[in-house]
Amino acid sequence: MSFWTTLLHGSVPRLTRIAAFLALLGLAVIAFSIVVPRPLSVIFAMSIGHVIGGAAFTCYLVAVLLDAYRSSSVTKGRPEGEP
Amino acid sequence: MAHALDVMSLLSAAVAATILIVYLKKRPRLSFGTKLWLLLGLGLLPAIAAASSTVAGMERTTERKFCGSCHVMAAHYDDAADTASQSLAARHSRNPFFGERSCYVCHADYGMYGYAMTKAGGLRHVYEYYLGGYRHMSLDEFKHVVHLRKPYDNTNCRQCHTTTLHDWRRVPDHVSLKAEVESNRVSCASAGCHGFAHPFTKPPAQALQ
Repeated sequence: MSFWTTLLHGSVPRLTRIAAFLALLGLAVIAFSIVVPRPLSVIFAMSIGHVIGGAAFTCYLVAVLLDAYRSSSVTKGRPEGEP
Repeated sequence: MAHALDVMSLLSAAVAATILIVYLKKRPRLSFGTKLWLLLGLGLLPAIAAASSTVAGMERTTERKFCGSCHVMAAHYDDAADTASQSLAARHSRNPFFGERSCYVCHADYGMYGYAMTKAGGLRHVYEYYLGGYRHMSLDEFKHVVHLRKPYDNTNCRQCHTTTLHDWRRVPDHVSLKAEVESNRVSCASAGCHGFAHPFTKPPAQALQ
């Protein structure tokens, strides 16, 4: 199964949960760089932290788009006149 | 400014984390309202936290104590902080306007891309420290083995000490060496001129000149 097939058939709540976990991880990295401002922690936050945060937001966007796409598919599949 | 940005970043991160933890704990249906809350916790607030922490982090990397956080810079840091030291670095570090950022102000490349080039150079320092062997080097070894990659550019001195002012031109040595100073053939921070910036890194006989 390809990545896109997996993604399209994946569950929206699961994708959102992954996004939330990733965002928490990214936020922890950023907060650590502020509390312990050593060269490595600052560089780590500015690179890996941002990548994790970006990945989290991408997961969220995909989840929202997937949810919208599935909702519209369900609406289209209904007979005319039915709400 | 960095302190205010730190607070803003931590606050945004804390609020975002609270939203996300509540979402993970309650697992509500993905309604329009939940999506909006998640947009706040996954998009807007983390973006504010990331942006403010980046600006604050960049600011912090210009502070003298940040440069001194690697053990091999201890001698440079201690000398710069020594109020009795007469080295060029120490005298500049006592300047109330940029003293706390003296390493950066004196060593940052001048010009349009100076900031970016300096940050790239800083990344190389981190690489050399963690992977290039500096980390396991003794301070004494470091002082005598590691040197600047390229000769110190007088342009950095001339950011503040312009060669066009009367005060500069009234010194006979300045006038006679103007061409050499401008072309970096003679360093402002040399033994015969204003002295070494970090004399303790030079062999004793040379440092006393």
